[in-house]
This record gives sequence, structure tokens and C-alpha cells, in this order.
Amino acid sequence: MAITAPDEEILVHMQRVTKRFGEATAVADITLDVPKGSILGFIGPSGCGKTTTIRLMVGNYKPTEGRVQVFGREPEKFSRSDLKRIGYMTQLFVLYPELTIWENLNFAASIYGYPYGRKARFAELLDLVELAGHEKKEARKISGGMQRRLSLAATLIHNPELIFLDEPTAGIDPVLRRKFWDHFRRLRDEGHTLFVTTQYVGEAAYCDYVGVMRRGKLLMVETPDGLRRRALGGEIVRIHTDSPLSGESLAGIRFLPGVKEPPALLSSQSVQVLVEEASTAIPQLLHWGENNQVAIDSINEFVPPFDDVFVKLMEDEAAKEEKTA
Amino acid sequence: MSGFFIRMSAFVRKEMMAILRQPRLVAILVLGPFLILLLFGVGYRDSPRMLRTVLVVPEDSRIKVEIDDLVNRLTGSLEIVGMVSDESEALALLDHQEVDLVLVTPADPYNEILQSQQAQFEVIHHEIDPLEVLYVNTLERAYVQEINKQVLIQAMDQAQKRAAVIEEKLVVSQADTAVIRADLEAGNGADALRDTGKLLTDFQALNLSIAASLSMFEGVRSLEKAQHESSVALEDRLALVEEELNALSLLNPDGVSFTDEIAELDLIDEELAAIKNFFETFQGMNSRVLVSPFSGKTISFTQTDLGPIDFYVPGVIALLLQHMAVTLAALSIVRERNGGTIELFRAAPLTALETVLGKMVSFLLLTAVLAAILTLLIIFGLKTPLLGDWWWYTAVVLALLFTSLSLGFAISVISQTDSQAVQFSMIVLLASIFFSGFFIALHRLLTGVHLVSWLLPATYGTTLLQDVMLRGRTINPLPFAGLLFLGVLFFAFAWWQLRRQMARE
Repeated sequence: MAITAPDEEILVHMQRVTKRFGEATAVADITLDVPKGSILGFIGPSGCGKTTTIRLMVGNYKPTEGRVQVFGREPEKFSRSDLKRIGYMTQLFVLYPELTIWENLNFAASIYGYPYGRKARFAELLDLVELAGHEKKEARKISGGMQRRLSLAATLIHNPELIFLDEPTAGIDPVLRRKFWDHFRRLRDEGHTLFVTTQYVGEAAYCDYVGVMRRGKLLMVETPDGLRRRALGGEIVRIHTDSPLSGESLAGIRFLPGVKEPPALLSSQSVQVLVEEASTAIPQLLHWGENNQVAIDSINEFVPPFDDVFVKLMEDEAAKEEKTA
Repeated sequence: MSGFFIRMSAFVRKEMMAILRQPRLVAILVLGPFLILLLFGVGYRDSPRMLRTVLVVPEDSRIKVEIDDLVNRLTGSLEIVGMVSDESEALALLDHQEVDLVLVTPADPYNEILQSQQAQFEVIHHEIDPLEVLYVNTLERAYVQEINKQVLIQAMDQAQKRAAVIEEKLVVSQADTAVIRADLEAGNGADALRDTGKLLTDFQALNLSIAASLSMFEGVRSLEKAQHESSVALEDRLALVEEELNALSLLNPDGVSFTDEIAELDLIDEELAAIKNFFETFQGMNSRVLVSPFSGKTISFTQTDLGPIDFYVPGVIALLLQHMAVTLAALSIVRERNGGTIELFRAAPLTALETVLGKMVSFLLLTAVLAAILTLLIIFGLKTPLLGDWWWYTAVVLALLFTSLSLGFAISVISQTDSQAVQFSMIVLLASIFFSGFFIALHRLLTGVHLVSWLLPATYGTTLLQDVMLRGRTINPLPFAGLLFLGVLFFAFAWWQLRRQMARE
């Protein structure tokens, strides 16, 4: 799915971007738009090019081919005020281990020229990342998860408009991860734009758009639902009956309109049906049950976890590559 | 502009906190250099080294007696531990390091001297340190000079003894003139002629005695002549007396008036008195002064006695401050790069100038405080003099720190890893030890090698600190300007390189 938004609403535009390091291609032929006020998540296996893509966007790397535009200009032409609109959290903890949490925040605020009188802002961010009360601890003496949280606080310190987060939730416990995503969504609602990479495929559900990468290529950019649909080829409806299903019944379901393939028997009384659209398929299936004396106990749309969706996507892509080869 | 200062201050605060949070590092930076100097000060031995010496006196030596006398007089830096007749035996002792020197005496010095050859004392050593070899050479020259002086003193003593005899003969001659004067005044020409004959005989004996040691006496006379241009040579005085005596011996014994002869006699008396006066003075003189009439005395222009440690202190301060600053700065940028913060800086509104300037300010403040503490410890703890103005000293130290930090940043931007940065810093230290004039004076190095010397901040620091601390001078503008120029050059290089590294890849 191509993201459609007016030009002025596109903050990041990548046009057929390739980045090579010597002979190795890190990113190949990526075309992508990041619309303003959205969360675009990037998922993909480790080493697939997610971090390189971010570095191309923040201006750390120059594309070998193609064009990157952020705020309508190429990163090498960024002015100081452009850079102040950007927040970047790197994948690894790069702040200073010998400084305290407070001093690290002070450093981050200073390099963005954030004026003095920062106490309230620091307190707000420390609350968000649940580091309040730990201000005087040296960064080397806190856990990896706390370091990630400190990095996030440092990234958000100057309230940037466009935020690049490279695996911000790595090493964070699920409850806090959820809290992070709630905050990301709140930032999105306030008009901030976020580009987030993650290895937790399930986090794709929190994004407005999800890009899937594999071996330097961007396979697709979809909404989370669109992604599922693309992976599975439709939507899944699960039916449970009060008596075992016969072969005749199963054949009947297959030829109903909107059913895409023969139903898969989960047990003698349960079946899973791949349909074009669950909302239109469910009434049709209920009607079919009434007409064919099949007592349906329950019928609902089954939403598979993103992990499964991702695995399916990767397997399909591998199969496609194998076929091409 | 305020944004510039805020961004720069990020590094000032960060670097200071990072260092101050390591109390052990601070203690090492302050106390380490001082303790090294203190240990050097306490451990340095200023007393001359005693050299265990064995004398080789050949069996057939004709100066055995004199050697015994020499052994008693050879004190000071030589400790005579034995006397052998076989040189190989002495060399074996030297080889086994049981002695430090072998002194081989000449077997027949009289004969060699008679053949117009200097009799040689051989001093054999086993030293490898050039400074120790120099010490032995100096010692050998000093002792041979002393032996030569002893010979001359003996000769002079003999001359002084002969002078006593001469003086007696002079008294006899003067008595003769008194008798002749009485004869002439009495108008007794015949007696005067006879007594003149006696005076002539006595004078010839006197003349012969003086002639035997004339050169020795004339040596002393020449010193007098150096002071009084009118001084007449002893030889000339004797010739004059002889001439007047010859004239007197031609007097007419039947003459009535002897006015001319009395005038001649007055002249003879005058000359004899002058000669007698000379010999009286000569006898009273110290023979040691006569053989070595001149001595030397070294006086420092600064009127301050400087010890060997004092001399090394400016060099050590320059070297330690340079090393401290270079190492701190060399590790700073390479750590940012390897730690990944440069990646953040690239995406932040931060310039390379703000980064390197912020680091410079923080390190300059830190190292200046450390230098101040070190200086106070050295000046008041080691009692090293600071003859110049404290402000000049401060200016030199700040310039040295600035240039050393700039050199450190230059190293940091070209180093790939921490280890490389440390290695480069150690190479700079090593080069400074050899080429900064710290322990080998610059004039001992080839002109081409001076290029390396003048690329090192410690070279300028040592020169300038020596001037200010030990000579009490103001800052020499040329090396001071050179030091600052070098600092600006290194700083500009570091800035340029960091700009490239912070640019997009």
C-alpha cells in the first residue's frame, strides 16, 4: 500500500534509495514516505537494514543512489533549526556511563541548545521513563533497561517534531513497553511524527503504518490490518459447531462467496475459513448454517498475532526468492 | 550566540564531571608527577662518586718512592684499594668489577722526559655510560694536572731555597759596596780598587747562582711586569750591575776626587737593593701560588645556587604537563567516536568547533588547576626557585597546556582506537624525553633533528620555564609565539578532521 498524503504532510520522503558499503548493499531501492503525525514502525530481522534506513533519514549516511528528503530538504542541507526539530535515539546506549542520569540529560539538553531552567522538563521525562528518584545514579551502575529509558528521555528532551527511535523498547519489560507505546501514541496525537524500528513484531499493532524489511529491501508498507491481510491473503473466520462437521458441509463452505480456499479443520467441530472480508463473510456463514442444519455454537473473526503474520511474510518471501532463483 | 555557549558548555561540564568523578585519576594526575619529582630529588646523589682504584707500579719502576708519596696525596674521588706490579692482575680485578679504575704508572718517567716525551699515567676503566666516561676522563685530567703541579711546586721550593743563598750573597755584595764607598770617600783609591776586585768576584758568584734558576725567577717577574710596565727584567739588572762594576774597576788609584765612581757605586747599590728586594719577596711567596698563579671562580649571574634537581625541574614540569594534557585529550574524541556519541552529534545541531572548543575549555581548566597544585608542591615542597615573575610562569604553563591539548586532539582524531591514542601519546612522551632538551641539550642534536624537537610542546615549555624559573627572565617572545602557533596549528587540524568525521558518511 502506498501511503497517500499531500506533499506538505510528508515529513520524510525516500525515493529509490540504495546504500552500499563497498560491495555490500545495506539498503536497496527503498521508496517510502513518512506522513506527519503518524507512527511508522519498521520491522524486520536483525541486520535487514532498519538502522541504515534511520541513519539515512537523520543524515548520518549519504545515499549511494536515490534521494532522501526530510522537511523537504536533503539532510546535508539541514540548518540548525531543522536539526532541532529532530530527535534521534540510537540502537545502543551512547551516553556517558560515568555521568549520572541527571547529568546525561543535562548534556543532551545542552547539545540541542535547550535553555537553562530545565528542571520541570527533566522531571516530566523522568516520570515518563520511570527513572524519577534515580537521578543521581551513574549511568554505568543502572540496568540495560534503565539505560534505554535514559536514552529515550534524552531523545525527547527538546520536544522534537520528528522522532527517530531505533529499537527503543529493546530490553524493556512488557509493562513499561506498553507505557512507552502509549506515550508514543500520545506524542503522535499531539502532532509529532515517529519512525520506530523494533524487533518485537507485536508492537506493529501500535503503529499507524508498518514497513517490513528483509535483506535490505522494503517488502511492504501497510496498516497493521492491511499487513495481516497481505500475509494471510484475507481474513480468518473461526466456526465452532455443536456436532461434528461432515465432508459435505466443508465442501459447502468452500463454495460460499468470499471464501478464498478450502476450510481448515481444527477439530471435528471446529473449522477455520479464509475469507475476503470477515465482516461480510460472517453473516453469509450463519445463513449457510441455518440452511444446511448445521448448528453453529460460535463464529468470530480470528486475529492472528503479528509474530505469526511476520513469520508467514518471511516464509512467503523466502519461497518467492527460491522460486525466482 | 547563547546557543553556542550552551552547546559548548555541555562539554565543559561533562568532561569535568567525568574526570572529577574519578578521584583516583585526579590523585594520580596531581600526586603522581609530584611524587616522581620528590623521589628524584631525594634519591639523587650530588656527591662525587668514589672510584675504587688499583695502582700498577712495575717492578723496575724508578719512581716507587714517589708513587708511595703520590698514593698519600691522591685523595678525593679515588680510593686506592691496592698496588700491584702486574698490569694483567689489575685488569682482571677491573674485569671482575672488584675495582673501578686501574692506574698504570710510568716505569721510568725521568728517562722519558729526558727524551722529550711526556711520561704517561694510563687510566683504564670499564664504564659504558658516556657521562661516567666523561667523569673518569675529567678525573684523569685533574689528577695528572695535580701531579704536574706537585712536580712544579717541588721545583719552586728548591728555587726558593736557592733564593735564600742568593740573598746571602747579595748581603755580601752590599757589604762590599759599603767598604768601597768608605774607601772612595776617604780618598783611598788603591783600597777601593782592591775591594772592587772582591765585589766583582762575589758578584760573579751571585750572578752564577741567579743564572741557574733565572727562568723560574723570570716567570714571577713576568707577572710583576704584567702589572707594572716599567718593571725591569732581572737579567737586565744584573747586566747593569756588571757593567757598572767593570767601569768601577777602571778607577785611577792615584786620583784625588772619586765623584763619578761614587755615583757608579750608588747605581750598583740601588740595583743590588732592588734585586735583594725581589728575592726577599720571592722567598716569602707561596710556591703553590707561584706554579699556578691563576685560579677560577664561577659565579651565577642570578646569584642563586642551583642544584642539579633545580635544573631538571622545569623540564620535568613541561614534560609531565604535556603528557597529562596530551593523554587526556588524545582519549577524548576517539572515545566519543567509538562510544557512538558522534552518531548523536551528527544528528544534533552541534558543530565540530563547539565540540572541540568545549573540550579544550574543560581540559584547560582542569589541567590548569592540576598544574597550579603541582607547581605549589614543587616550589614549596621541593624548594625549587622561581626567580622570574609568577605571571610569566602562568602564561608559559597555560600556553604549554593549550598546545599539548591541541596535540592530544590531533592525535585523537587520527586514532582508530583507545589503544592507538595511548600508543601515540607514549611516542610523543618518548620523543620529548630525547628531543625536548630535557636531558640532552638541543645543541647536541643535529640541526635536522631540531625539526622534531620544535614540533614538541615540551621543547618550548622547557626552554621558557628554564628562563622564567631559573634565570629570572621574562618570556622569550620567539619560542612563546612558536608554542602558541604550534597550538593553533594542531587545534585547526583537529577541528578540520573532526568536521570531516562528523559529516555524513
